[in-house]
Parts: sequence; C-alpha cells; structure tokens
Amino acid sequence: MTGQAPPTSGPGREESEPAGASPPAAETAEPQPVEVPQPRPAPPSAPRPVVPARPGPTVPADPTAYRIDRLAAALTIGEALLVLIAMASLVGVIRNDSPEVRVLGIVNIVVIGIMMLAAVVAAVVIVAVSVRGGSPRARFVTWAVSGALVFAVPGVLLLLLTLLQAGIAWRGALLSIPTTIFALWTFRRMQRNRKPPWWLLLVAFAWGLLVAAYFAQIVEGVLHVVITAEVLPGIAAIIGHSAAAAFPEELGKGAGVIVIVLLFWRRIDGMLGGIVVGACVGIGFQFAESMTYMIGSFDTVLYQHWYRQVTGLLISHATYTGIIGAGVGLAMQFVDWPRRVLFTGAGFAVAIAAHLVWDVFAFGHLYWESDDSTLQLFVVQPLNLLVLKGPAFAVLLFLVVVALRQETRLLHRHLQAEAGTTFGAVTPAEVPVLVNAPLRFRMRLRALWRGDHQAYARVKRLHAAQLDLAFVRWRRERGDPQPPGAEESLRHRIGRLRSEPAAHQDERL
Amino acid sequence: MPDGSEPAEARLPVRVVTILGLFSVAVLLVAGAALVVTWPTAPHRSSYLPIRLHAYDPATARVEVAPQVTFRQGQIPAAAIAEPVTGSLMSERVRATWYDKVGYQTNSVDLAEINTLRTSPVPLSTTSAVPAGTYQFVLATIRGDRVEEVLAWVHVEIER
Repeated sequence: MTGQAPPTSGPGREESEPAGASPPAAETAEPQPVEVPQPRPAPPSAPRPVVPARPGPTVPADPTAYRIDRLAAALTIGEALLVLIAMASLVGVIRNDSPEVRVLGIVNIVVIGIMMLAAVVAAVVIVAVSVRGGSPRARFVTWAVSGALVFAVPGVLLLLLTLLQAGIAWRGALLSIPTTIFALWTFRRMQRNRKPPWWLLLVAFAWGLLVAAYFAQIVEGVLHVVITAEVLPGIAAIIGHSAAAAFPEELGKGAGVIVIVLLFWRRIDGMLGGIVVGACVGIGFQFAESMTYMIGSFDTVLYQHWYRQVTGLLISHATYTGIIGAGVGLAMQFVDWPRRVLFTGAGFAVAIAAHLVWDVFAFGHLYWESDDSTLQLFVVQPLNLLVLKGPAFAVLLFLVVVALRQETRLLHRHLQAEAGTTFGAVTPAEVPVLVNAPLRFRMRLRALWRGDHQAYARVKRLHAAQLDLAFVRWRRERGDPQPPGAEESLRHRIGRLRSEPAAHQDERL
Repeated sequence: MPDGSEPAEARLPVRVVTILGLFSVAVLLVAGAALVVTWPTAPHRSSYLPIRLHAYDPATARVEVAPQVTFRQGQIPAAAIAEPVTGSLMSERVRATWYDKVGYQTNSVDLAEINTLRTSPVPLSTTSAVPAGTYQFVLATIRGDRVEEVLAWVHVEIER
C-alpha cells in the first residue's frame, strides 16, 4: 500500500481547481441542470461576504438511488437466513428430541415453504418487468415491493411472537425500556460529526429484536439439543455449546448490519456508522434475550435486569455486533471485493471469538463466585463481566477512537479542500471548528446563551450542511455514486443559511 | 490489504482491523483444536446399564427410597444402578459424574466397586438446591484418570 491519495481528488487537485471545474465522473453521467453557485474572486483566506439567498437548485431524478444490486443482495441475505432456519427446523423435526422443537420446526417449515413459493412468484414478476424494459425506478420499485411482500408474513409473525414474549415478560420488558433508550442514545452520541437518524437506529434495533433473536433461538436451540444428545458432557461439550451460541447469534446480528448498510448506504458513514448500527442491532438482540430470562418471581426479574440490562448492557451483544459493524463499515470504504470480504470477515471473526471466549468461561463456570449474595451482586458479578467481557468492550472503544480519528482526518482534508475552492461554502477559519465537536457545541451554546434560538438553530443547520458536504466529497472520492448535484445543492443550502437574517449575527458564521 | 487505492486516513483502521481479525482467527483455531483434542473418544457400552433416580435431601444427606422419573425445582436427583452388576465389571473402578446441560461437572464420585452405586446413589449436588434445567449423569469405567468405557448416560429434567 502506498497510502497516497488518489490523483483525482485531494487537496492538491482542489486547490488548483479552476472556477467552475468539471464535476466528478459519477455526476457527469447524467445531465446537470443544476444552478451551480458561482465562485467569487475573493481570496480563500479573506472573510467571505454573505452569499445572497437564491432559489434552490433544480435537482434532477437520482438514478444512483436505485441500487438494485444492493437491494437484491439484502433480499438474498434475508432468504439465506430463512433457509438456515428451515434447515435447522428440519433437523429438529427429524430428530424429534423435544415436542416443542418439533412443533416449532413444523410451523417454521410451513411458513418458509410458503415464503419460498412467494419468492418464486416474485422472481417471475421481476423478470417480466425487466424484460419489458422499465425505467430504473420501475425495476427498483418492483424489486422492493416483491421483497416486502415476500418478507411481510414472517415479519408480522415475528412481531406478534415478540409482542407475546413481551407480554409474558412484561415487567422485564418495561424495566428494560429506559436502559435500552439510554444505550441507543449512548451509541448514537458516538457518531459525533453526523448523527444517524433515530429511525435508522430503530430499524437496526428491530432487526436485533425480531430477526436476529428468532434466528438464533431456532438455529442455536437445535444445535444445543443435538450437542446435548450426542456429545458426552465435558470440555468438548462446553466448547461445542459455546460455539453453538456464538456462531448463530453473531451471524444473525451481523447479517442485519450488512442488510442495513446495503439498504441505507447513504445514511451510514464509514466505520463509525457501522459501529453505531451494529451496536443498535446488538441492543435489540439484548432486549429480546433479556426478556427470555426475565420471567418468574420479581426477584428473578430484578436480578436478570441488573445482570443483562444494567451491568452487562453495553458490554455484551452491543459490543460484539458493534465490532462486526466496524468491519462492515471499513469494508464499505473499498470498492474491491477481496478487501470488502476481508474486513467484513475480520469483524465477524473478532465478534465470534470474543463471544465464544465469554461463553466458554461462563459455561465452564470459570469465574469468581461469592457466598455473600450482596457481594456477589454488586462486586463479584460486575467484576466478572469487567474481566471477561471488558477486553472486547475495550476493543470496541479502541475501534471507535480509531474510526473517529479517521473520520476527523478525512473531514479535515475535505473541508480544507472545499475551503481552498472559491465556492465559499467553507472558509479556512471554519475548518478547525467544524472538525471539533466540542467547539461546534460551544458555538451553538453561545447563541443559545444570548437567548437567540434562531441563531442556535441556524448555526446547527449550517454546521450540519457543511459537514454533509465534506461527507459527500468523501463518498465521491471513494467511488460511491452520488445524486446529481449533491455537492452543488449543499453549497447552495449553505449559502442560503449564511444569508438568513439573524437578530445577532455571529461574526464567525 | 494495503494497496495504492487506499486513502492515507484508512491505513490505521485497516491495520487495526486486520490485526484484530488475525488474532481472532487464531483464537478460533485454538478453540477448534481444543475441541478436537478433548472430543470424547471412549467407547460406549452396547446397552447402557439401567439407572434409577431418587430425590436427595442435602439437609439430611438421605435419599428417598422410592425412585422418581421427573423432578421439580428444589428437588435434587441422585443416581443409582437399577440392578446389581455381575462378571468382570464388578471389580472395575468406576466414576459416577453429574453435569449440567452444557457439560459443566457438578458432582463426581470415584468408586472401587460398581455395586456400591446400587445402595449409595450419587446426588447431582450435595450442598445446595440446583436451578431448573437439563442435567446429565454419566457412569464410566476408569483406568488411572482416563475414562475407558461409558456404562450409562442419562438426561434428567428438573422442571420449574
């Protein structure tokens, strides 16, 4: 690796970019009826005059939004998970080790069989639409609607099943809501420069809660039954059971991270975005898992809540899946498949290994125990978690720091490059503020302190738009297709925000 | 792996994730090797010895006379052989071991004579009640510290 910036981008090119330079290749593919903000002759270091407000640019239809390949890959992953559930169910039915596994297995096979038939019908419809040569949008919509219809039945069943479970463990479910919100908020805060929308985090949470939890319950359940029946108890059985938990659980959660990244690729930025999405999938899984334990007496519910939703909340599934997200997020930054597979695989390997090690220690009772229940609850048990799960959490925090550092340096480079142009969307003086979240916050706070709510909101929107512009430039650099006129549209928005009247105009705006 | 298309900012994340991935693969390989090495290879008796289960009271260290098939939470099962053993097996050293569902050993007793197990059942736990769940009892002949032949293996369910 040379580590050199690609010759088509970077500060060197931007600084020498003539006024009205050609847009990047991804944007030249389509006609560009976009009103491009005109560069001004002012030198880059001089304070820039306020850009007068102009009507917004006419953004044409975005052909790159219809990524059928990514949608098809996401649907294929969903189908693959269902096939694995069907296979595990078939094993459970044939072996007939327990009536519950057999009945659930039959239900699974019937539902998935119906789904597969629906998938075949959907495939025929998709082929028919493709043959007729519809527009990219029509083809994309056909894929999306077909996929949604195929997955609608199991989706509704999973939702009902989870609601039933929540109804049975209602005390635990209610107790877990505040801790879960806290965990989601905490991980969202980690993405300091461009926070993901809440709906995206809820989608990730829902995958963990509904899909990954059910997948693990079935596949892992059958594996546990088979190992218990076939492998003589001892060290091998402990390792086997640990693997039976670690592999399917991480596979189900990690599949969710990949699906979400494939479907909402414009909303997830690099490694840090992957970590946040992964952690939220893990929090959903943790919620579902906690509910299965929070039944029985209220003492049991409280103990399990303390163990799973307080002391172990951030350092369990959220950590493992966050690490998978880091791998997937890093893989997103490359266009070649070998490195995509390598980094995604590395994320999975770290998560599975960390989970496996914890389970071996837990199943093998290789931890401290105290006869004093108070000491056990408040000292020994958290200490066990700290020692056995802490290292994985430390790895996640390290990855967050590495990802944040990478993101900050990338933003700095792209903001500086933008400041080096004569568009005026970013000034050189603004760059240090924009890459520093506490400084941005302090600036907004100053406006709020003066009681100028409008200025506060405007500064917030301006910073968000400027950072969005840097992210768009980053995505363009790494070869992600961008909507036509994305950068021009953001520059225009920034110009509009700068020119908005304010009661107390901030001299740094 | 590093190459010319990699931005400078990605160098550290690439190295970190690659190193962590390699380390994790090594951990998984070690786990796989441990699984292979510890995989039980002792032969099983063609027909297992019949096992009888009794309820054990840790407070009095006594077992109920009447055998039971199902157990409820709070009851501790104790295992005994249902019929006296004759022949060469009589003089073999045996190990009676209880495990939980995942294979963690909860109690183990080595006996010089197998027929001792007919009159003295081995409990799942001698100290305290055990949580509900599946437990396993294994009876095997031993030589030194190695299991030679598995004579009996039963799964017991303690219901809530």
